[in-house]
Amino acid sequence: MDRFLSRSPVASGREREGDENDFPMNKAWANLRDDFPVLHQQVNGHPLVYLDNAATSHKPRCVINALAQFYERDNANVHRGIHALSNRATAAYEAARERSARFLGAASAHEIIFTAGTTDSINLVACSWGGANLGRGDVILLTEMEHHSNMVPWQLLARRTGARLRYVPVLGDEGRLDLSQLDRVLTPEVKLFAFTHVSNTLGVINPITELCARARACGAVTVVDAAQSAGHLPIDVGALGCDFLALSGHKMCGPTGIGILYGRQALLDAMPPWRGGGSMISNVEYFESRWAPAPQKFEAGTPNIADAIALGRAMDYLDDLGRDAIARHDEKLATLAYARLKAEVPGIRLLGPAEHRSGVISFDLPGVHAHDVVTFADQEGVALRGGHHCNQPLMRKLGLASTSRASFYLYNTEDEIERLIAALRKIQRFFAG
Amino acid sequence: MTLAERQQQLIDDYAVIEDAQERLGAVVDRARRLPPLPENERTEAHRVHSCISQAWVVGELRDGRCHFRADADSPLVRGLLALLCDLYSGATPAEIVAVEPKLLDDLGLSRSLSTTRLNGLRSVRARIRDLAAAHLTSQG
Repeated sequence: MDRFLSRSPVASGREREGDENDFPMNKAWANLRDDFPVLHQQVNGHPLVYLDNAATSHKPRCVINALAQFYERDNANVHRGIHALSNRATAAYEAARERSARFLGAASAHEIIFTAGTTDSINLVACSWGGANLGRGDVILLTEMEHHSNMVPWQLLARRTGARLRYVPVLGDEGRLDLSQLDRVLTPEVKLFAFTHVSNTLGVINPITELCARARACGAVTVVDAAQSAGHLPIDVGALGCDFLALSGHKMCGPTGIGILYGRQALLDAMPPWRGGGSMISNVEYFESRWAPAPQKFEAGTPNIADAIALGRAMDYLDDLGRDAIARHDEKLATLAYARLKAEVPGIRLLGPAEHRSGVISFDLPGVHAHDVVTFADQEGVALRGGHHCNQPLMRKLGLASTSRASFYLYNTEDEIERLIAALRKIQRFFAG
Repeated sequence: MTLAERQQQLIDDYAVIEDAQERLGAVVDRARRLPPLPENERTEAHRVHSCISQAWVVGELRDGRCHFRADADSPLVRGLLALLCDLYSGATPAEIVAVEPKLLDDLGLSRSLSTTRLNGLRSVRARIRDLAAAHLTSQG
């Protein structure tokens, strides 16, 4: 059993042979929960069990300190300043871009655009690349499991350009993509294929390398929504072969309001800007302007300097832990939680696969509304999320109005699964009464 | 009994339960005794929007007093709606327009509810007020 999980008395009672060797941990994992100040509090008289990581993750002290240090020591606007503080701020901001390029395996920092988050990144591609490259008769291919943020921007683009939307179907509660249908839907009219790496509702991990290869063979540009996977799974855009990849800082131990769009250099160079303003120009006349090269072309106005720098620090933190180790930790907890929920919570309907999954588990307790599950779990100090999870069409397809969702991350423990199950059983008994 | 007095009585009744979770439990228990609205009343016209759960409120005037019935797809919301029906049913339109439902705050129930749910309950209160105000106008 790994050091981190085995610190839980419950976990130690559930050790399995062979676990000692399958979870190589480094020093950074020791006392990891101490790195997250917010975890150490009581909620409604109970120690907080935070299982809402798919909505947002908590921030380690080093990220919080990076924010404070920027504002306390280096705060200045970037790029055109000459004074010492501006030089320091610019250096730190551009270092965060370099860090992000390394984090994602991008060919260079020029391929990294800082945005407000995944939604902003996808809208950038839709407005800029989509506006310039799509027209009537073209097809935008999505999957049925996309978050609204990877659906609505494409609906708006389709309405503007006359392009059509098409979907790769999802197979039942297990939630895998029906790849047998890919040849039928991925036809030469498809100019863009946008898909999520990890479903925020189903916890399913899509075979994105294969999807990128199939799209490339068909001449379609690919957009990967990595909101739920960046910071959870290793990502190398070079090996993936994607054209664009979008992520949010706040779901991977970074601050809110900062995200990244990775774009392949050749595509970014050919794309028009989507927002005008300072910083994105090389020359401005009264009646026309010329643009700066990417990525500046896409970063109009004063950027989110402090949060970009702190996101870089979050990447350091995650890589110190090891993204392979984080992925295995997430999967181990989610697989155990799935099995125990199925065995110990009578009647529960679980979504997503039983194994080889991410840390997101959605479920339906028959007879109990998802919002009531969340309200009563909160009374036990367990933070869940209930609703349609920005997946309204998928919910309808599965015949559900809403689900409750527990989502695990690197600081969660097996003890917390115990607390989740105890809370759900109590809720069931209560509503059965 | 005035509406303000009835509200205080309801607060006193539920305040006997000291534990916050048990108090929520009592609200869900109340939902079990709330007769469901028939299908033909669970219509778009009776639906209260901005509730994340589906919720419906039906009001009628009898002998100068308003009576409310409600339903929701969440037992907890049903219970809260039942509480509001208990509060406002039998009151005059003028009283209903004037008296806000402070029992949710006074009983600490608001603290256990999410912002979106509280917004939904505010919409329910607004619907009850609007239904009463319509009778006020028709009477006036």
